[in-house]
Amino acid sequence: MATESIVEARDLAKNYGTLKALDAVTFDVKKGEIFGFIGADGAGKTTAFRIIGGVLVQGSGDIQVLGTTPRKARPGVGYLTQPFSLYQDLSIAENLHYAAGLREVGPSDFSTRSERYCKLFDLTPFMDRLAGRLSGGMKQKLALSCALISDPKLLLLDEPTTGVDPVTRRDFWDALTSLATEGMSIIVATPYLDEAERCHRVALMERGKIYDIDSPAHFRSKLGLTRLEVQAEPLALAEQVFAASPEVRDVQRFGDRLDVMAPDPDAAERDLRERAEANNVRVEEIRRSSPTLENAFVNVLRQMRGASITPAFPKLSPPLNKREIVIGAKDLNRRFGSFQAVKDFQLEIRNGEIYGLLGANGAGKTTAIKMMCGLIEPSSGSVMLLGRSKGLRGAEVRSRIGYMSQKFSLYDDLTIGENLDFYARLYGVHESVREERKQWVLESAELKGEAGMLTESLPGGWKQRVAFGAAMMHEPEAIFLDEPTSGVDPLARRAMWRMINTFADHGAGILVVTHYLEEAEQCNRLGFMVAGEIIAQGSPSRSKGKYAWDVVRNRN
Amino acid sequence: MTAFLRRYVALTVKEIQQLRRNRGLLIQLLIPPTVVLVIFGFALNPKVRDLRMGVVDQSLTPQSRAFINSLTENLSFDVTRRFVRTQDAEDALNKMDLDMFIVIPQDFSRNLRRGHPSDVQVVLDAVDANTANIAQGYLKQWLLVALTQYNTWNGLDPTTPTGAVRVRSTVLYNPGLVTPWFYVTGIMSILIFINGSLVASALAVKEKETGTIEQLLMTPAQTVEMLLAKTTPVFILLMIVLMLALGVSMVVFGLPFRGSFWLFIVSGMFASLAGIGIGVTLATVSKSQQQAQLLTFFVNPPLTLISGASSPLENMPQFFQKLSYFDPLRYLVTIIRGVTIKDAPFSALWPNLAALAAFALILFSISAWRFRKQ
Repeated sequence: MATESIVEARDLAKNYGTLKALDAVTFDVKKGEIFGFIGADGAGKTTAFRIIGGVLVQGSGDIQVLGTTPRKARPGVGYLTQPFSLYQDLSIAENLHYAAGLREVGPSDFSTRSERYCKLFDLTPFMDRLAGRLSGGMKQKLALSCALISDPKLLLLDEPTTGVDPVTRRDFWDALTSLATEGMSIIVATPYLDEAERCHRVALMERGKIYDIDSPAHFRSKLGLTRLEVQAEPLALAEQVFAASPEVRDVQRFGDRLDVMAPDPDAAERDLRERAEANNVRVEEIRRSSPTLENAFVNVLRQMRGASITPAFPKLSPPLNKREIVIGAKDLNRRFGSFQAVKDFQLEIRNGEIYGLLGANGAGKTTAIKMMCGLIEPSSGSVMLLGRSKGLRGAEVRSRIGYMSQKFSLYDDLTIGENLDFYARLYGVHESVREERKQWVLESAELKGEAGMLTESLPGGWKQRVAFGAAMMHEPEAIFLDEPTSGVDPLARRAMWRMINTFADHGAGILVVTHYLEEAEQCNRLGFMVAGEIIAQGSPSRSKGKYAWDVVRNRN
Repeated sequence: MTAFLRRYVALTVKEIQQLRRNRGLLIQLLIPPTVVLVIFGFALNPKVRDLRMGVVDQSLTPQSRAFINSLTENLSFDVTRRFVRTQDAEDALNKMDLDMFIVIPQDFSRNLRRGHPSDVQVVLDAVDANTANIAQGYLKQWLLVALTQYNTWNGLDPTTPTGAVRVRSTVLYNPGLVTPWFYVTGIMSILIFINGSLVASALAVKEKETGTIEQLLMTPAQTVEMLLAKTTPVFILLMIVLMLALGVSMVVFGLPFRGSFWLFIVSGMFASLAGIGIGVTLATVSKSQQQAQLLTFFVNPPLTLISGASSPLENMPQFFQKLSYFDPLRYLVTIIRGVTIKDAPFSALWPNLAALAAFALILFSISAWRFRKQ
């Protein structure tokens, strides 16, 4: 790899009012390098991009892009912004033409490049299709092609795979890797750590600061910990018992197993087995593996923030001791005209279970979940909620359901406190606990004392955390979560999953809809949905998960 | 019932909090009654003043001079020039030195003395057709008055020519010919109705636009509760707007209030409900606030135009007069004029109130049904 610097930034800073979006950030990007900015929503990734892209001027510090100022370097930079930067009412070919025209690409260059990228991204058969009618993954591929049409030396990708299914994400990253091999420098921001593993170097960002820059492999080895995957029964008890071990740094529950981080794996394994025996925990298997980038990131965040304690849910009701079907579907079908959105859909989620429904965009997950919530009528089949099959839209059933949609759960024009008051009143959270539960939501979202803040000004990931709390204040028995932790940093994600597990341990039946494996791994059972059907079900142990994705891939 | 109330209160509190931060909408609601009412009240005032009138007096008798004097007593006409030849007057009109002129024929006084009708020719510059029309109407009216007066003075038969009865009836309820009253009452009715539909459509579609509706539909809140909570603050604001509009009209334009106040309030309530109903119904077929607003622009102007709010119903073609029975705004306009400018008895107004109530009920029910269905 050549050592020529494409981007050099020294002590870059930018404030929005009193908020430090970027705080003395220093980094450089070399030729042919894939450089990743890793961090949660609001970490400062987008601000950094806008400065590199020459759209925003830094508050202080120096930056050189392609040997000049970012503004002058713009012709040599391709920038893929976070929201789709396409014209929805133009076709693929027209969008490409437009992008090329803006950047003064010659006709011969245009035809060779557009042919090349359309072939690379499998867009050739759809050249006349309107951009608005493409799937999320194809839109992103087209947007990337538009950014590449001017043959930039530097490519800026701000969360390019948001809303894209895993299969397409993999293709997308394969393409990025081949571009980098040809000498293009790529800066990419992503909240997903599995993607970050494919960067040459990553910068861990948190609240406007870069904590560390290194290669993913170095991050993992620097950690100096080994990961033990432990399968044990009962899991909740095992988690408690193992966390007390002095040999153990960290325990996290992943659906049907525990991930235990330990500096000395031999000593740790011995100690775990002893403790398990003493506490009537049956250990089925302990496997060793290398830590993930997520483990490293979590460790870094811990060091930066200090120990944070997830506040306990105030006045938790006694656990429900039943194993009934909380959310159930039998032979569910839904047609829109001639299009079969959901086909023979079966589901049984009992008290205490966390079920993950996986699938690409357009696989029918949303339709299925909407039918189960009673938002739309099924064409045929029946739905069971909390043991009932009738009156699902009634207030009585609804007040025992918790629902958190992917976005837009909160009112932007209300303050955080007003939002929480609204949902608490609406769900009839009793006055005696309302204030405490409100405080619980604020504390668990690390927003204590910020109740008067307008929700609008919160970054996406923080909104998610408040929205999750708002949907849980009334202790629902049936919980629907649509990508609950997207845009949330790993530490907060773990805190959220700890809470979700607590609700499950207390008897709630939980359905999680997602297309991220990070979330899927946390579930007890998984269902894979393709073209309206569940094609595979099982526990989330990794091999099976990977297998299922291959099935998905082949079916596509 | 208590759960219903609790949720209704929760939803309403939320709506009020959101409305408080929605300055644009509040301005849209509260500025028109003051500013628009005043501007339109003055600007749309069709009363014609100080028209430059020329006189060609071919009669040159004491009678004709008396007649001309009686015309100029009116503020509408200003006799600026006198001519001997009709041709000169025409030239002046062409040069736009005059707005109009009248020709008093030679046999004017002779005909009058004999009790024969006498023709007075009126020539108008009709470039501004509207003013010309109104001036013509005024002139006819004043010619009649002047002739009648003249006849009476001269001890002649004061029988008035046909058409005088109608003229008189107009004058009766609006003795000073204060036309702002007509417009101000019309605009007041339009404001309530159109603002109701505009604001309600914007509020009802907003959650669909931002996507929060999905979350809201999953809560125990029922659609009826949501609809009621969304419309309550609008309804209260509209009532404030109505009072504000009435206040401005009375202070600025000296609008009298001669009839029953409760009739005014109740009809205003029904009208806002009907307006809200239309707004919500349009919102259910829209995807964004913009779309909803554009739809209300499509629906509201016809309703306004055929309601009689801005031009008298009697002047419309028969077909539109019939059509206006399907316009709830028509009834509100009639009632508001009935209780302000006149003191119309309840017996004369109740069919209007009943019709308005029926419209409110039907439109609001349709909106509730559509809102639930979407």
